[in-house]
Amino acid sequence: MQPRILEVRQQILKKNDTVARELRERFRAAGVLVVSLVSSPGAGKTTFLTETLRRLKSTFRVAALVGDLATENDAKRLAQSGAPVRQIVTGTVCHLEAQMVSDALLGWELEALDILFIENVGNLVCPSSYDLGEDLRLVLLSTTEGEDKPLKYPTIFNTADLAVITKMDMAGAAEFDRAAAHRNIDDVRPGMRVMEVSARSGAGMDGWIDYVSGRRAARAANQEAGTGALFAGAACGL
Amino acid sequence: VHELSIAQSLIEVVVEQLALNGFEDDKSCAVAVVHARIGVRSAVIPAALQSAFSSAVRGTPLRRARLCIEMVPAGGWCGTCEEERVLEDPRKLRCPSCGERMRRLTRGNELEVSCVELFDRDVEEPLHAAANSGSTPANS
Repeated sequence: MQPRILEVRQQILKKNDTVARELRERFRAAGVLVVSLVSSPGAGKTTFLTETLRRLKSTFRVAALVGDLATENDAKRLAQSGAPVRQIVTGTVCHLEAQMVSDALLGWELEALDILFIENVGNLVCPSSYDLGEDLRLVLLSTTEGEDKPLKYPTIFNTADLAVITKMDMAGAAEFDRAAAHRNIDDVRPGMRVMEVSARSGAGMDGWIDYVSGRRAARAANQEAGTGALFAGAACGL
Repeated sequence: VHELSIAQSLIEVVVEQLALNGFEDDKSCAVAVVHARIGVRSAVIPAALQSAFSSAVRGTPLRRARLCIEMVPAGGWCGTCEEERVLEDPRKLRCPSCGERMRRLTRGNELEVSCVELFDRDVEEPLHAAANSGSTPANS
């Protein structure tokens, strides 16, 4: 007799998780630090990223992938930084998936990169469930959006590693309640690191650049240690 | 509104499991009910998933299936109480007992398929109808 109940017990997104895991292994092996950015539309991801690429370019080999429902405008804006940029047009899909990242990387030599940025589609809901293999996920919140965004979208804040408050130069005009924003972020994700920046005025950008540079240096150090261990292992094998 | 993507992935997972368990013949193994566990903090809206599911099953072995969603409450680990607690406000990681901040969610992020109920080979009725008539479900 055939069973009438079939136990499945599987993650619905296991395929994405598998591709993301493979990507993460490739990124580690190549020694590239991968940073993704999520935010609502208009929070300033592209301006923040253009300025980030411009500042990092003299020290590191940087590149960016950018996801959008339509148009290649963001890729063109990012390309002004002089860094290699590729657009992922998602069509009707409201988020990036690991397979899209994997496809977009075809032909790119990861070993030739130090830091790769992935700008997700502007959306604070849908990207939260999809692991892209990144090392660091940034959630951006602009001073013009309202301080309660973290309470409205707790899931995305919970999957991110670092919150960046953008457009600090507009905080006064927008009557941005700084303390409330910090309190809300801390409520949904206790202890989360928060940075305040203005890509336009440059305020706070040094701190962010130092932070990401440090993360990249740690990745490089780990990779060297890893390679060393590998050689040691090979020597033992002899 | 990524529920359509989620529904498609869910169907893919079930179809794959059906094939792995030798239920490739569409006619003999049509699925009656899919049981899914969705966390309240998963960013998936159950009603949106239901409607995405009913349109995504067309033309698949799940086309007659009903989706049964079990919502999983959000829970966190309280380092002060040294216990897992169900969150009072699922958005805030605060211990409902001592009020301390909690470091991490222990549940509430689930996006899982737990099991599927299959129609009988010839009787096109869900299991619970068959169970009522006296037959017992067998496990593999």
